[in-house]
Amino acid sequence: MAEAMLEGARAAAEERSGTGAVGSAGLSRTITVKVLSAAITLFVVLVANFFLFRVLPANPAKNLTHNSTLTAKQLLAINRTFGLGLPLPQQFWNYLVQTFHGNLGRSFVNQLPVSELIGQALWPTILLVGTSTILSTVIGVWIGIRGGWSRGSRFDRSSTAFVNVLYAMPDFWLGMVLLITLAGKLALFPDGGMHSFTGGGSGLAGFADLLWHLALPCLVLTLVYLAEYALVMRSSLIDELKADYLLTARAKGLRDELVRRRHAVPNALLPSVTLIMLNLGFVISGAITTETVFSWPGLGRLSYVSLNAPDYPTLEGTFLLFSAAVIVANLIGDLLLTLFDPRVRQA
Amino acid sequence: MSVRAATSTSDGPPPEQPPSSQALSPRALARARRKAALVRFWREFRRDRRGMSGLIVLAVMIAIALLAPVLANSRGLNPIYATATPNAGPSLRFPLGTDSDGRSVLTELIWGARNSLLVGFTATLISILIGALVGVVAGHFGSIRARAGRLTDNLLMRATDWFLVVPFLPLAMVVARTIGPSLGVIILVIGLTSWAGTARIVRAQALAVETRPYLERAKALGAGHLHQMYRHVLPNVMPLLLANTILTVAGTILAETTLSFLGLGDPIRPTWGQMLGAAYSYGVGTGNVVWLLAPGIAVIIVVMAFTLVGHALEAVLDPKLRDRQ
Amino acid sequence: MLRPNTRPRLRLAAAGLALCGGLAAAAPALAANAAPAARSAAMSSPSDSSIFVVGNTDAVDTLNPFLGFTSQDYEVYGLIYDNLMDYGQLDYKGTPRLATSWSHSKDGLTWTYHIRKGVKWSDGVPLTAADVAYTIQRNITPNSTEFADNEAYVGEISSAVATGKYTVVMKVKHYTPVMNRLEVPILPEHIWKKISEKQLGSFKNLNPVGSGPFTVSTYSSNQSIRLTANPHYWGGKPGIKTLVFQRFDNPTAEKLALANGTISFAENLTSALWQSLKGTPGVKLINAPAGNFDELSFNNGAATVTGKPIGDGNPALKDVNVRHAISYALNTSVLVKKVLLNTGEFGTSIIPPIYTQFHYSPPASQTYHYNPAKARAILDAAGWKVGPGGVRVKNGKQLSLRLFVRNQSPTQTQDAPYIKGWLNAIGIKITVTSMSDSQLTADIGNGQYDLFMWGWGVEPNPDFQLSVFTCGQRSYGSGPNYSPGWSDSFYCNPAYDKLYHQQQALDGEPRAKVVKQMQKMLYDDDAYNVLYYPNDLQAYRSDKFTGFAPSPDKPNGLYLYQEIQWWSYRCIRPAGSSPSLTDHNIGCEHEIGAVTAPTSSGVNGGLIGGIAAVGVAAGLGAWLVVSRRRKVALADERE
Repeated sequence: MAEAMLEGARAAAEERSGTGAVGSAGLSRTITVKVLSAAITLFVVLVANFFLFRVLPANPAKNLTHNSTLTAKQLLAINRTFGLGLPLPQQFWNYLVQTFHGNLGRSFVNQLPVSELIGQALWPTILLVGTSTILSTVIGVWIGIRGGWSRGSRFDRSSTAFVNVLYAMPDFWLGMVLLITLAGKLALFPDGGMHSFTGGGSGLAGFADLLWHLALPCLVLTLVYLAEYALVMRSSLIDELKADYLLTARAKGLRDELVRRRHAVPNALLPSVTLIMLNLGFVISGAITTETVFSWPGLGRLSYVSLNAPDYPTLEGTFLLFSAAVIVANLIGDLLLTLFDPRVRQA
Repeated sequence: MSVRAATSTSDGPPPEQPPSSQALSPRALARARRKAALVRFWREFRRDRRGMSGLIVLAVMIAIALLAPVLANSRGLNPIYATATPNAGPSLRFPLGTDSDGRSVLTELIWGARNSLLVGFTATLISILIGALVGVVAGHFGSIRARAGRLTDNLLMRATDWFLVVPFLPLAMVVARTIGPSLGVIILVIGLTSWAGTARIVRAQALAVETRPYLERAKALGAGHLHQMYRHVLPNVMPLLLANTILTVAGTILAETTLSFLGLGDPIRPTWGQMLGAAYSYGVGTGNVVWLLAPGIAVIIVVMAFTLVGHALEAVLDPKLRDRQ
Repeated sequence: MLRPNTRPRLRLAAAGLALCGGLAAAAPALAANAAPAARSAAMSSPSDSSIFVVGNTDAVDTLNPFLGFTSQDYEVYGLIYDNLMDYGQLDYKGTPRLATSWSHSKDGLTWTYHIRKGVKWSDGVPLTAADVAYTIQRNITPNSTEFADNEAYVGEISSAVATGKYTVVMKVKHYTPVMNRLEVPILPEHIWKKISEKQLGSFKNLNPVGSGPFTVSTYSSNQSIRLTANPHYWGGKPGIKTLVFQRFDNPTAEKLALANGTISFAENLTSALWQSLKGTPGVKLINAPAGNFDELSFNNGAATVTGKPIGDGNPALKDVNVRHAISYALNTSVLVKKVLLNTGEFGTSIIPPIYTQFHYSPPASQTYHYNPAKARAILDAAGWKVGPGGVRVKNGKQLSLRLFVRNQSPTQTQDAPYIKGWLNAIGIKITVTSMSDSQLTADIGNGQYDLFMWGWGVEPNPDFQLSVFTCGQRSYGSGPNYSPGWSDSFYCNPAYDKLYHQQQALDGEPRAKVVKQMQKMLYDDDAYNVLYYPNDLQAYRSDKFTGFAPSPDKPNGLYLYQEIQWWSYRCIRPAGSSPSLTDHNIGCEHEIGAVTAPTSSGVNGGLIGGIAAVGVAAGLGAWLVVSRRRKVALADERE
């Protein structure tokens, strides 16, 4: 799916570049336009958030009090806290103001501030998603480069097959299989959580304990997402290898290795970088299921747990955060393309 | 960086002369041309070994799905008639073992093929329809120099961007939870959240098509927007759309497994995702690991098959991409 | 010349073996009795062995006892706070906890409680009657969250005053036996008086000051909580130093963790996972009947407390015959066998059988045993004839019912296709919809349902459970969103209400009689179909910990997560440690492994056995040696 997105992004970029060379003045203008565009998208997300989470669901007041009999006074008090019962435009304005102040409401389940719940869950997810993204990118790109360069070789054929299998694998399935075999039967890894239940210790011992718990979930996310990068990097490189300037370089007598390192790879690398950014949305989805399987206390697990109540304020908060993260990542990826793609920067 | 082909095979080399020496009507000529193109296309596709193997696997899977009532009695899905030991490993009578209700995992797998493929195809249909519509309209109006056209294009592209950016799973989770989980809701949700990629690609292709001379001719002859889009732009984006469709099905099948695993699926009708979710909830590792492995492997096989066929299609349709295989 | 004879060597060897064998048999008895202190010290000194980790699918989501509602919340509150009373470990009578004794006036309207002396809060401040009075007064504040939370206990109290340092006098509006069982956590006045009613909703109570056997050391909301034992607890020092409650999202992971030994106790495992632990070395399984039941509820005619009909329930269900037919059509024993994997009991009345005093058991002739033929006959007689597609029709309307299932219950989700199948077989069309708890609550409140499945946990005091079926617990307010009461069947029977008020003023055997009458009424009218009483499935590492105080006091009682009891936590100790570590603690007289006879006889028994074994071995050895000598001598003589 992300491949399709990448093709679309390339197409969009090509189209933009086709409208003429971008001078330095034009460059800053383009950047401004892109940033504004991202801001508008974020605003649309906020609107959608409001609609999905505050307008659609049933009256939460009863859920809050767990069905104990409410007096009219209590009902009023709850409505006031959550701002329900006011006219919709008023509610929407309050919602915007509150969100900008970082007030994301209170959880329906335990009345804790959503911003606090999210704050607690943020670091574990960043750790997991960040580490696995770095690993999957590095490994995936390496596989793609090697495969693309030595096209048709045994490495290429076997790695492509391996990568295709990974791409087709549901991430939670891989997680369950690894959990049962490596953590269950062989007891090589913990069964879940971020720290040992009996206290992981501090300092170096604590860090080692954390790594030991991080290993399996990180492995799952890495494996499932490196496929994208490998495939795209490979096809990118193959396309690049047909370029004229490479023929020139070879004719000049440059060694293959140099040709590869200095010319082909950097140019082929760019779409991969863009892809990392575009792919973030999917990696987050992967994090939701993986964190659940491994009881990893991050945002993904928070979403899953809130899903069943359903704890709408928390769902709303995580949804907003995920969307914002993806918008920003997309913006960065887009800007990178604008700044570094030689075909776009012609001034 | 390469971009989606600006050419399409429908504009390929001139057709072979029809055997009869009679002069044929333009329509018959067009038909013969198309037939020849199809034959050429098939011959090329057949040469791609990976694509062919994918196609064979798909054919087998679809056959299994269609023949489900013949292959496995639907009574086997009703737990009140299941008397076997639950969570039992593979045996002669139950080649894939039994699930927590004592039903045969193999029976569920076969019927699951039917429902999973149904969800995959239907959701893809929705996704492709919306994506193609948005892409063609945006591409067509975007190439008009008038401001109104540009505006339409921009608006549609903003919407597409939003759908591209919004993380699919959280959105799907919320919508399904709000409306209430069922197979129909999952199909709708997946369809509504995955059309953006298609729209982008179709739009790029449509923009390229718009620059072709015969379209200008059609405009000069007074063809309206609808006629242009339907008669000229759409047929030319079709081949790429087809390849994209196949690839999208792979994605929707994976998406369905995730949503069912999260408990948003239909508790009564089994899909492979449903089986995986049940295996997770009722405890895998309680005796029948095959209950977890079988649907997962089935999903991998089918998704791989779709991906291989889709890539092969792309290669055949776009000469530039052929070299990548 | 003497031929070397190998046989004597064998005999000597045999003698030696016999001696060793005897010593080996006697050794454990000798060692255990000779040096118990040394051995238990060796077992408990590594800090690992006194950390007790409990795995559960629920977590503590707040430390504010007025806001929590999950079973995990209550489990922890009872460890960091003391209630005024608890249910006794052996019976369900109110047992002294912070209240050592109490009495009431002749008219039953004034109650005097004596508070335990010498108890200190975890911050060192002494606990006095003032804290008790403050807590109760706070709980009875009208229209407060506190009142809504503890109404079942404090509903009748009109005032609570500390008349001395250790005496509290409470006045009630009407006599109620609940005053013998005030299971309300007592809070420190000096902390809580600073929290106003308004602040209550956001007060997190992160460093709770309590008087209970454990204190909180680290807490991650919704994940895990780590408690440290209070060595100065008035009820005795706990046998474990650290107690951890860890939440698992993945049920399989919890099972694996127990099998690996990473956790010490697993709660809330599904029946399949629990069964799969059978045969795992070091793991003991507990199949404990608990006070729970799961039911299929009918829409008996949804209406508000004013009698105004609401909702869109199928009117067919108002006919008791249709409800009977449904009950006869369900093969509930199959559910017990296949879904519960035989860890439960066929369901009848709403007070579960573990409450032997109150449970009503219908005679076999009136029980709704699986009888599809009878079900069909009943429907035929009621005018429901089988129509096209096998669905019954009457007056042009199909007998089509909606079945709502909670997506948060794996067992109920698994039950749904069975119920659908059985009802289809007698000609009722069923549409199954899975939904969240809150959505279902809203639908029930508005009467927009036909059938649904849910469950209840019944307390030893049946009052609340009985009240659910009174007319006054139906929805109230105005549409389109009615406010739900506790009734989820909309059963309304004035005769039932009368009996309910009657039993509120009774106690003991007379009360039990009325309660059983009420259950019979509900059963005959088929307000609910109680499907089964699911057991609580627990498992723990018996090779690492022992000393539990099960409730009821049987091998298959609940070991933890008991009905308003927390004694077991203070009685647990590492396996191999001396029972004396905890068996003097209050409530631990019947812990597992408790030595009930004087220890001296134990030593004697072992010692005698050991000495006897050695004696026998020595005797055997001696006989062998002697007989060899004789043989040799004989051989010598022969030569």
